[in-house]
Amino acid sequence: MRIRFWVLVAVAAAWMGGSALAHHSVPGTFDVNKTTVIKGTVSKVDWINPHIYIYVDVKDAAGASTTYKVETLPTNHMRRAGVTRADILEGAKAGAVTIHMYPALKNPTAGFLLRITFPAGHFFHLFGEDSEIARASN
Amino acid sequence: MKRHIAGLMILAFIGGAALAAQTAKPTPRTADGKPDLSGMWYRRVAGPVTQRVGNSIVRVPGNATVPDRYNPGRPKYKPEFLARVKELTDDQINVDPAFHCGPPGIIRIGPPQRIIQTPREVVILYDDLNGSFFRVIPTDGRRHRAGIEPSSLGDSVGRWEGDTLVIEVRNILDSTWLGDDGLFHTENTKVTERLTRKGDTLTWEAVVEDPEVFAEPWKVTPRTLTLMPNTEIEEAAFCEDRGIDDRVTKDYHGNVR
Repeated sequence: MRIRFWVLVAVAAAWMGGSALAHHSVPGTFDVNKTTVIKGTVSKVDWINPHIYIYVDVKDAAGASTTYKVETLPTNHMRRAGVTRADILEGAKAGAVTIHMYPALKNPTAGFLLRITFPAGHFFHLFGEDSEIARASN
Repeated sequence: MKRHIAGLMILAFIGGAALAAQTAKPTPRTADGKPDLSGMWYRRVAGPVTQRVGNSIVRVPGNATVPDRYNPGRPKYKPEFLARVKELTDDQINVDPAFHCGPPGIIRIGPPQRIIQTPREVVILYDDLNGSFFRVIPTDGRRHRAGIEPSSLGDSVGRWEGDTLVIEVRNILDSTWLGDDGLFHTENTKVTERLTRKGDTLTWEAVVEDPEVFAEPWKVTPRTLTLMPNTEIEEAAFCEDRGIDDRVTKDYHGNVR
């Protein structure tokens, strides 16, 4: 209940004005009561609206690679947060990134970004609360 | 839950005090004595939700949970149109043009983001998720243009009533919605907006009239914006419709076909 309340509040805060509300309801697509973690290399960043996509290649124990589609903020929200596409690509150049995300309800290889942590140790926490990072499971 | 509500009330009070301080500043005027509406206007009164610490971006816990809580309200449709509103609402994910990167239209695009004011006209620019949009609004007595096609933002003319800019909008494309939840309208919709600057705040009011389908004019919830100095609007990034394959719509509108 608590988590759901704050998630809805955060969504209301983040999504407002213009056609924003017409777009994708985070709770309608992602499991906002769960945080999962993936680790992999960034293969592409699509700087588009209504949401930016970060593509992350994740290797399993056998070495097979799966590309995850990680959805994040609209471009103007990202700009307001002071993050550019180059910041993400530059930070990810050195190796694997760690992604905390809400897993998609339907698509097992998709999620909504909470935090991306770069190999150098810095991170961009763009959505959700600290408690939603702390509860992460796989 | 009580604690959450108390927290929100405290933060709303802080936000209200900040807004009052900005309203109290002197209102700048142009050479012709009109209030100068120019500038980049911010739609939220809450503070930033993130901040940079070293190379990292961290959430600001307090502000991250302050909602703008803006709700435009809803028009009152005539009873015979309620079934249509429900049908559109239930199928919004499929039939809402703005859901698939179409233009949001008036009044769904919301209050101004960037205003450029000259003695003859006021220009409003929008950086919307669905694209960059603009309106050129004559304020020198020109009338609505005849013989032009309807458009998503319609045809606007403005006039000053004291310190308030009143904008009349006509000829709005009827394929746009006025808001979420199936708020359809006809091609005869009339919108009247009022913009009033006080200090570094701008209040936007709007009334939508559509007597064919509305039981009464819809007075949209007013919104007060704050000036964002040292910030400029940018061209919107391309809006790409990624379809609805990943959508699970029980928490939203409609059913995936």
